[in-house]
Amino acid sequence: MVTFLHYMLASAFLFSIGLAIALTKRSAIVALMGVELMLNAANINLVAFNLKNPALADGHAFAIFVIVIAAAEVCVALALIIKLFQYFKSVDLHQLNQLKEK
Amino acid sequence: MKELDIASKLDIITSSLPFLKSEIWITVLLLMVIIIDLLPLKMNRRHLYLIALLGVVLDIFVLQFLVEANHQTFTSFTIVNTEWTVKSRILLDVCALLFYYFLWSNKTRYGDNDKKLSGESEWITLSLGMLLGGHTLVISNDFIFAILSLELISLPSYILTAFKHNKVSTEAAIKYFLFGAVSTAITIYGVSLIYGITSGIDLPSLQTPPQTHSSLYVIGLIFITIGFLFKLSGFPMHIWVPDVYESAPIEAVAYFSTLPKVAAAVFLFHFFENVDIINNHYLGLFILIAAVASMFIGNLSALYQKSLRRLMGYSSIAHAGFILIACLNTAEISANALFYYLCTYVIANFAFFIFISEVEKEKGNDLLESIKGTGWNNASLVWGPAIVLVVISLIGLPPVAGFTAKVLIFTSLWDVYQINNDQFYMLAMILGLLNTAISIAYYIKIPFQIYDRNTKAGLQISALNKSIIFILGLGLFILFLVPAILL
Repeated sequence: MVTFLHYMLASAFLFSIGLAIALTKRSAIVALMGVELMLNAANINLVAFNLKNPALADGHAFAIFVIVIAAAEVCVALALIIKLFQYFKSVDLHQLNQLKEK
Repeated sequence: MKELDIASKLDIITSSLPFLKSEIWITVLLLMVIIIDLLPLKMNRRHLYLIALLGVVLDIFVLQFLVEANHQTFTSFTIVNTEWTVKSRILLDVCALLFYYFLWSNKTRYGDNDKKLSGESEWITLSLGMLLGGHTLVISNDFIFAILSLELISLPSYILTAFKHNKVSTEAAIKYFLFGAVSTAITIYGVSLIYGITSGIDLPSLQTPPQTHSSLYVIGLIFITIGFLFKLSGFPMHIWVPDVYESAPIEAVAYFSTLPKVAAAVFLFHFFENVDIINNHYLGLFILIAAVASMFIGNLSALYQKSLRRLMGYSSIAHAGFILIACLNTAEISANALFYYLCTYVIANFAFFIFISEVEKEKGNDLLESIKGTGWNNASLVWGPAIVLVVISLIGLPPVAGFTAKVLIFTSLWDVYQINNDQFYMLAMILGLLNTAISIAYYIKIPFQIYDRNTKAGLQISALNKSIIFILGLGLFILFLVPAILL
């Protein structure tokens, strides 16, 4: 029997992996993947909790909107990463060191 | 609430549509600007800024005269339409108005073949999108609505940051984006946890949680505030501020140091009202820590800054702390205090950023030394005293509106302390007052440099910008004399 606890553990696990990737990886694109994992962890929660009150389908509606948000975010991010590559010739986040305290 | 099905919920959503007149007008304006830009007219594209400016003025009239506030909030609506949200939407419109004026007066003076000039309609569509997001965030009574509008504010601002088309602004945009994406993801995860606990996606369902003090509930609430702290540039999410303020186009910086903050503060206030933060000890403590930490980080880092833009960046972090304190009290008086504070903040920030843009144009950099002695010629009689008033208002000393705003905020914090007798609130109040004292040390450098006795230098400010700085400075003084205009 799969209970809410299992869903929540799975999503918390996914969320932590995503956060770790987004905070530690050097490549901008991989960091973006981490953000996607975090959003999808939230989606698992939303769809699972929808079982509590299936008639209203709030969770399903929210999950669809989260997917839309993720798509829009990727759009903007890839555009920015292309610009980044034009100027820096790499997408390594550790090489972004033009801005610092003077 | 529990007996609702999808059909009746959709009915409720459609019945709240008539309250969205001003948002519909902004959408129409956005489409109009795109279409006018596509038409093969032989017009000067800069006039598009004027069109947007007039459209925003019209939107203020729509809000003032056509949108009626209902006095009780409907619990199942997806929007709140009280007098308070109407007022806040007018404030957002004022931000956009000042922004278009700033853009219009600045871009008129560049040459026609200036490369940076291209993209008027992009500037307008992106900023109108942010305005629309701000409007919907202010009225949202539902987490789906709130998060969509949060993204609607965020995504255009990432793009606007990169609009300078150089190395540093792209770097700042990427940093801004990564912070924003992570904090939005944390917020969405928090909402999903809260949805599991209250099984409702709207804010009023937070009023009746099953167990108020379960750790999952508190963690969910704290996660939700993270994304809004990012927009407010409050403590755990403040790291992007100085970089973005340093390298984004100056008009965009002025815009997103004001509009997202106003929208996020108003939403946080509404959110805390539903959560009943006064009785929710842990969330209150988290917000207090965030507020005090952002004040200290902002003020102490600003002490060592040599560039005006970074100084304003750190000062905006410090101001986020004061805004958070105003959100803590959910009584009527605190709503007024918050609104008054946001108004003075918007006015002072815009006046100061217009000044910085003029300094940059004339001297080529924004260092504090480059404004040395600029206040002694006849041309500066108009803007010099106005800038001094603006700086005094940012510190929070009489005789300008910033003083009244700070007094109102600390009064509302004192009221919370009276209600729950929690020592932390007292401590936060003392530290906040201490921070006001610290902030004098760096703000006072600005008038000190402008009126330096040993140097005499010129600073030409265009007539349009000079007059708006004068009007904003005078406005701060008038607000101090007659605060009843806003309250």
